[in-house]
Amino acid sequence: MEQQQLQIFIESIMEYFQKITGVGIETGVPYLKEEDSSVLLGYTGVIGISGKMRGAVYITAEGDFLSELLNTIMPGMERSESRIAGMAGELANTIAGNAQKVLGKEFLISIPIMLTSASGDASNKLELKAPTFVIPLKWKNHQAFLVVGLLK
Amino acid sequence: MKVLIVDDSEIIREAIEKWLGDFNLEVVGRAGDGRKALELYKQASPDIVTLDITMPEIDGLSVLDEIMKINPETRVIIISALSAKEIALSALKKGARSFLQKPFTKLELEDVFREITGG
Amino acid sequence: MKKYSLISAAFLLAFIFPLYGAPSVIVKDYRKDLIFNNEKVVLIQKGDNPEYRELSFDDSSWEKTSLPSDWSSFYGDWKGICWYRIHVRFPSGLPEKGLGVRLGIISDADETYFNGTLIGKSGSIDSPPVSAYDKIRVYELPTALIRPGEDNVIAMRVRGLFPGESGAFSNDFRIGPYQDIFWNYISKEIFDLIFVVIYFVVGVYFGLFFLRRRQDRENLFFSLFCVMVGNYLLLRTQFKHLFNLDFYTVKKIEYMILSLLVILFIEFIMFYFKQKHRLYHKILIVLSIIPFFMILFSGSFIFWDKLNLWYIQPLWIVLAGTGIFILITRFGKNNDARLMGYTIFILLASVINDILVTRNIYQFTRMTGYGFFFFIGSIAIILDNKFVRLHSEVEDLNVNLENRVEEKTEKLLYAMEEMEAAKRETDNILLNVQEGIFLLDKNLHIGPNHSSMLELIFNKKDLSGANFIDIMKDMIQAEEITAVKDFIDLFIEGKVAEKRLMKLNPLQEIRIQIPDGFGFKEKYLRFSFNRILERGENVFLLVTVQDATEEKELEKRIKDTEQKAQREMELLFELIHINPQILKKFVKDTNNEIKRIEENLEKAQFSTDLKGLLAGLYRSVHAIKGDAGQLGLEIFSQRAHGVEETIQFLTEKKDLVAVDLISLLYSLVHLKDPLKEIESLVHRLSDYQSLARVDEFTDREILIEAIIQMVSRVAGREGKKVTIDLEGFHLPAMNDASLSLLKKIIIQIAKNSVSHGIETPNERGEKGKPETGKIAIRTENRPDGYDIIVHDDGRGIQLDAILSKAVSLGKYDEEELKKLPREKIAMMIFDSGLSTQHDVSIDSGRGVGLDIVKTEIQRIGGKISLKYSPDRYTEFRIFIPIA
Repeated sequence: MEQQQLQIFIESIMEYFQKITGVGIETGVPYLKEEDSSVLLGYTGVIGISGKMRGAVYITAEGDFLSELLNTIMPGMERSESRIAGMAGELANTIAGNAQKVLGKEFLISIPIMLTSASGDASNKLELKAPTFVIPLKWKNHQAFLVVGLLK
Repeated sequence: MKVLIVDDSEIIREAIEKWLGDFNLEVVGRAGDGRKALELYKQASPDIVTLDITMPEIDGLSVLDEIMKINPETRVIIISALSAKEIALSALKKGARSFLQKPFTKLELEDVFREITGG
Repeated sequence: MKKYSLISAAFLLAFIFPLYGAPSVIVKDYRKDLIFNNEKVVLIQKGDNPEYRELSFDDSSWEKTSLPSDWSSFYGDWKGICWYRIHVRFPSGLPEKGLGVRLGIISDADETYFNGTLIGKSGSIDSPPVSAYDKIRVYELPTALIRPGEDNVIAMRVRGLFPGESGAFSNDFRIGPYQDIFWNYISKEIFDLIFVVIYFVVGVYFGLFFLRRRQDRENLFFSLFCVMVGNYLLLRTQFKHLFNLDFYTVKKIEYMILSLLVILFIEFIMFYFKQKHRLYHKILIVLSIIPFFMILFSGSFIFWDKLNLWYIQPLWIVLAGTGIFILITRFGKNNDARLMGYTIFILLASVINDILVTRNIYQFTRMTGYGFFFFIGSIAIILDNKFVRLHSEVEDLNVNLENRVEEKTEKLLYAMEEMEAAKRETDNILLNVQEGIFLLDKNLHIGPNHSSMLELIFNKKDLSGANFIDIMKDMIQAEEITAVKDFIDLFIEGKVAEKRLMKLNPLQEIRIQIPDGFGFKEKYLRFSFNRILERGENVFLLVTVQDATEEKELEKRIKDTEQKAQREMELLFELIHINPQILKKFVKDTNNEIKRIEENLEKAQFSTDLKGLLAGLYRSVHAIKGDAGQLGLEIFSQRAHGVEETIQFLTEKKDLVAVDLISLLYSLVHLKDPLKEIESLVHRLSDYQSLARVDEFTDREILIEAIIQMVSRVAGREGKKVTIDLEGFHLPAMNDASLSLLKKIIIQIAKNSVSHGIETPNERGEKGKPETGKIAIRTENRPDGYDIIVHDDGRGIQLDAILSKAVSLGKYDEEELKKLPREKIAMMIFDSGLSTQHDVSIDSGRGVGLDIVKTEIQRIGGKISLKYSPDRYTEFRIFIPIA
């Protein structure tokens, strides 16, 4: 992914948070990760990308992040495992939508796939391509990571 | 049998005519564009037409349509560029009997005519 | 004695009777059953007179005759009344059991008197003709009327019927114990009844045969024949009289049966011997049926009798002749025909016998009953035999058939095995072939027998019956689909030569996207088509799909490899000048440095001191750049320079946010790429060199080599001439980390000396110095460590330049600076951000370099000091403590 595309992509996610929750998402210092070690929190929504570039983009967060998000979007909704997982899926969908907008038609974007810590060795299922960019995200003091691994 | 040669390139027209020397055919006309081709076709009612696809005035596919309307038994050989597979296929669908891809050799031309004339 | 006297007495009596005039039946013993057939003891008189019944009537003028006797010999065809008188003499005393008399068959009706008293009558004497003409008369003789030892008279008043058959014309005439006579009479009837039952059983038996097998019509006719005969005989027995059936009706049925009986048998023979029904035979059938209906609708017994005599029976002769003819023509070849012929002959013989006996031509037992029994039994046996024969034939045939079936089954099994083997072979091929192979029918449906590979290639299951175009739609562009359709249509049409059409194959090589995991996989497929003609009709297309992805990838890899090789060659040209050990060290150091950068980035997270972070990163990158430049790794140092520029840009950026650092990541990735290539090259080179057994360099030599390399490169680039003096340079033993640090420090300072100290040859010339500058590096041992001294004979420290740079950076106040002592100002060259070089270059000039040196030295607890003299020299002294 071109640098500019990645930036637009990140911006679109930030916009999404601003718009939906009214609270902006804070981005931390991005860093690189070797392909064999991925950052994974409790819930992960993955989208596969192919076409001109191949790899995956995922957002990974802990349950409190997602339940807070859920609570913000739909106040008063009771917290449940399936709803939290659903929220992660929703987030991944948003990412996918944004990715399509940013990347254009040359990229083929898969349906988001949900991974939870319960699904076992999740990192195996993530076909991240080196170099992998990790962008720490903070929203209402909850931590999340946006991970982008694309090979040109 | 009567042959009408239609091609906007004079070199190709001449090549076809010359290369067909061994066949017992009578060249009844040569046309450089679609309009003339149709005129000559109506006058001479040839049995075989070699038809270039890309031509000024009226393009080859339209000429083919007209010919098929007048006499669907006419054996039309489409001559097209190498890359234009789709056009060749649609011409064959419209009723052309065979095709040649530019550039072609004497052997290829003879091959096609043998197929066409059943020889 | 007594016995003798009795016999002689009886004898005497028998002789005495004629003396009385009237012939008599003499009963000697009441207990004996006496037959008086053919004894001239009967008197007959035509006409009717009530006195004739009386015992006392004088009958001496009557005709004498014997029984049986019809009266035609006396009275012609007289059908009126005649009287019979039989005189009987009984022994003395009355019988213990009742006596009876049997008077044969009297035609037609009678009234019988004993000693003037009516003892029985049969039929109706006074009303029309038919009433009891075939009845056997058995009457009781009332004991009370018997006159023992005297003359007794049985008088029969009889009405005649047929000429020649009138009166007591037939059968037995007996007198004796009534019970004996009755049982004798009835047992004969029961005996007849047994025949009847047998005929019925046979009839029903073959009737059932026919019901099971309708095509065997001979069974039907034989069955009907038997039932008719049985019926006829049943009606002919005396039971009808015993049960008082209507005689008239019984007779009607009898005649009707007679009309059909023979034709039924002829039909049986015809069907049995498969004789075709010619016109002649049909006429016979009609002729046989006509009297049946004539009798049915006629009420005249006489007519029936006449019909029977003059029509039915002559017809029988014709029918019998026909039947016999049919049999005779088959005598030669058909055993059954012969047997039946004999049977019929015997039957005819018995019938003729009876006719003759009846006519009293001679005396013999009546045979027809037995004849019929023999006849029907024989034919039943013949039929049964035939059935058994057929059955065994059928069984044989069945066995044969079973064998044939077994044989066929075996053949079939064999063929199936062969087919299965062929199928296994095909399946094996389809399972293991590396191409997708399938058949397309006219409707473009994929056939059920496709190779397993096809599913893998299309990444789809259940392809059988799937529409090929639908499958292609998922893989290629809509506009290409039209071409594919056209192509396949033309292919199936078969007008254009296959060879030629193949040139237009739009699927010759296509790139497709196939869903795979999270994304899509790119595949290259090659399709080829063959027309398969079945019975001259073009029915199928054989399609072969080849997955050319690997081939394509190989092509691409080769291309990439070629490019890479070219890049490597370029790198190699750079690397070739560098000692592999030094390169190894460089790679190791650089990797460590990059790792440190990455760790710092990862640690930073939501840190707010982005500039501080960037400054740290800058120093690392600068060190990398320095090393690369010093080793003459142009590509690498250019990229490191790029990273530096990015950091510079970011540092200067207003409103810097963390996410902006992404650009830094990109330039870092850009930097890492050639490092990996160098790494692998070094690896390969060192492998090669270890094979070549090149001696290991000592740390000092490596360091010296690195210093010389760097100095000569920088000097060369800046157009300076420098010699380097390392006479007094002796390193104590140290670990890699210390050596690496030391190297960094010395190289930075030496580089600084070349860049900032040594003047250009021109400048030096103007100053009256030798064109070639000199840098001397030496070590001095100290009690707690050692000093490294770097001395150059250059221009010394240029305080003015430092001052103006410091001011321009805004770090210091100009007034303040002017107050600082010269030493302090000189030491500012170790500050980050200060570079006195005018042009920023790859090798120096970002002001980082000396600041790194200072930081590193301070980190290990060392000291750095400098002294200089303008236009003469600069000398750095670095104290390295030994822990």
